[in-house]
Amino acid sequence: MAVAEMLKVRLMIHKSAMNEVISTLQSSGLMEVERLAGDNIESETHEHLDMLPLPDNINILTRLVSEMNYIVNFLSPYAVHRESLLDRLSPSRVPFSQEQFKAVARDYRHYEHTYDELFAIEKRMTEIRNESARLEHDIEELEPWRELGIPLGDVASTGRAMLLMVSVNEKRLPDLIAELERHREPFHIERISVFAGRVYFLFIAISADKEALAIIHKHDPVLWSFSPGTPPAFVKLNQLREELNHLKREMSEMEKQAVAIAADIDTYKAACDYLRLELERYTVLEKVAGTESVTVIDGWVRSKDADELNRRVHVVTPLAEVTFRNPLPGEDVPVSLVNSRLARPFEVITRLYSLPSFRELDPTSSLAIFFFIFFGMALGDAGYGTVMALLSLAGLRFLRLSDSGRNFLQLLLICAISTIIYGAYSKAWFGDLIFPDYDFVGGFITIMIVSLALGAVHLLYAIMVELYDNVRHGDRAAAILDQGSWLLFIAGTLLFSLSRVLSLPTAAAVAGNYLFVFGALASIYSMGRMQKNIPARLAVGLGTFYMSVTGFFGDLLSYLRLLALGLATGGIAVVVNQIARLFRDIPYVGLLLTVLVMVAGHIMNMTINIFGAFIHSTRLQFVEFFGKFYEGGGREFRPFSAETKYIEIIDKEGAG
Amino acid sequence: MDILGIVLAFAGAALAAGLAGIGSSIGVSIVGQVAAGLITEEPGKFGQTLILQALPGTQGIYGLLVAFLVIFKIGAIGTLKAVTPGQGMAILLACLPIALVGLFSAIAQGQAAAASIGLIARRPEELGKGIIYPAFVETYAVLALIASILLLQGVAL
Repeated sequence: MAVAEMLKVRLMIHKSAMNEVISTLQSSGLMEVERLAGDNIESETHEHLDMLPLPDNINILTRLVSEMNYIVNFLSPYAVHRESLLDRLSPSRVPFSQEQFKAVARDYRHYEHTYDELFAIEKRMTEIRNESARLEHDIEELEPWRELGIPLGDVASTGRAMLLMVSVNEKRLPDLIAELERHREPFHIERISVFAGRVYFLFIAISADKEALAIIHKHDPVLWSFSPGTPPAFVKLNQLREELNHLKREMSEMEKQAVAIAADIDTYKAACDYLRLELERYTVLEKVAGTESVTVIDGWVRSKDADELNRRVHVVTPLAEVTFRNPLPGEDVPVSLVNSRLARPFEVITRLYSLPSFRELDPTSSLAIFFFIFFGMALGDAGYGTVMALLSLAGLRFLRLSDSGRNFLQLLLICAISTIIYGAYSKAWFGDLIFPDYDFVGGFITIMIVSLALGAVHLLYAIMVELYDNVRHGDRAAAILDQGSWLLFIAGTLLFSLSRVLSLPTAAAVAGNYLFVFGALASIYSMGRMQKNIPARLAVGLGTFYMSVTGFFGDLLSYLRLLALGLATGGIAVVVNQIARLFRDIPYVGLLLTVLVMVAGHIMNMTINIFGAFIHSTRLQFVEFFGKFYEGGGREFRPFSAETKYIEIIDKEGAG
Repeated sequence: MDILGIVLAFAGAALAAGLAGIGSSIGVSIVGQVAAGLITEEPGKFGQTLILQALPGTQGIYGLLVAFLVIFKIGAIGTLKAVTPGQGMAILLACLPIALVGLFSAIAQGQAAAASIGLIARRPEELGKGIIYPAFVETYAVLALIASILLLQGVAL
């Protein structure tokens, strides 16, 4: 429902306990450590605080971490269990016990040897690749001359005879010959081969015949020459092939080595994680300052975790003083969202835009209900919803997921439920597969009105959130003038136009008229109130009012996309079924083909439309809804913690 | 049976699916080319680029949808209904919004999505905003689709 309350925390501990306290902070994951410097410190204490000298092995650690990252990245393609596509989308983590984790990490220095080994392997692999590419290029060039039995190095003009190795486009050869024949000097063309549309030949003429050479040059030739001593093409080709095979054998040898090393990839992953955690600890030390005997650690903690943090620090050492204070105005407070279990998955959407800043409302719970409805309408097929629900349930059950991955699948599951409800109501199960009387255009007008009505509710809700936000910040005037008058106008407009279509009580219609006029006047007044003189107020007020009205109806029309997307899903699904049924009468294989076409068609349609429903439901939140009141730009609360990337500690220590 | 009416209706369906399809294929290709360039440097962003590449694909689907609506309307699967030249012309005109807007908006959306690829190349965390810019373009394809469908509904056979 909201942005979590935060407290600024300052730990003052005796230097002897520093390392232990920092370890506790890491394993508890409650506190974000902030650099103790500059404006954060009152000037009189600053003089007593020296930055702690950096431990000299932070550079070594940084290097080790990057080496371990290299090892893991290099080895993952060679690991026996090749990562599936699913793994790439949400990499599952290797389970490790605390004990194993420490054991693996203890001999990390041995892994430097592995790094050198892999580095050498990769270097050699690159060399082999380049060398092979060069050989393949040479082979390609020589192949056309295979049938020429003489050593290539010996092909050269003599004093009297011109002897050239030439290739031209095959289509131009007849023209070339015709031209040479018109030239009436002796010549001979010995065709060797035709390769990829070019004809390769030996050209023999009299040395002095410059004209013949000119004729050849007119036909876009390539003239070939090989260094003296080059053996006949077939001999040279065999040599090159031999070399190439040799390189291939060496390459597969290298790959075998890599695969052998990759058998231990889990160990390297664990070591990588361990070293990264160590590095983080040292980075935290960078942010800490102290006097000769006291260390000061500043940071942020969620209000609800304050007592727990205090307790944990005091478990480690009695020589500690923990103080909390509320954030000061203008302070850059990190943001952590607190939402009910049902709304939490929708934080994915909020994050996709931007976290709220600390003093802003968290829009998550407001957008949750609308996103839920919009997604269901936009996808709108209960069959697809069921498939989606089953897939996300399977993912939640069988994949080891990060928190954000879990949230995302939960979001998909909730959206699937919405889709099933809406689809079941409109009888859409894989188009008309189950209910032949499903008519996807039938409810067109109704769905259009529902889309627009939902849009109106969404937009009005946004205005009310804006109003609430103004009141919360004590800006009553803005709340009444900006949002209040605008709400009156819109309510008036709705009543006014509804009274034309439906038979409302006369009182309502009259009230509508008055609201419409009053709201309009009030809006024009409030929109122009910042200007100095009356003409300017009137001009700005009228202009802004006009823009707001057209903007509102533009926004409203945007909700028609719900109708369009639902129609597209339903329409294509029905068509898939129709096309599939055309195959039914083919003897023997008819049924099989029908099923195949249906499955393929529905998978395609479902994928595209889940995509579309998600993107457009999100868009309606970001543009139409957030546009009214939301700014975002908050900084995520990132507590200093023992979060691992590759492995999962299965027996986390409770008390640190 | 008056063949001219059917011919005009067919032309409408063909234009809707054809032009919007051309637009989408060009749009998707624009994004694909830029995305392939990014993937040579950072293969890990494949999933993100895929989302952006899919965006200009919807116009083709909207066009196809309208084509199918015409096909159902005139009974081209099964027995053809009688369509007068006037009705045929009306159907053809009804198809034009999605055909034309589909064609141009898909290309424009492709360009916007290609620019967003540049955005996520440097700031992958801003994928959300990168999706929103091209999604704005699609609004007009959606409006054209609604216009086409409303117009088609208006043709009584």
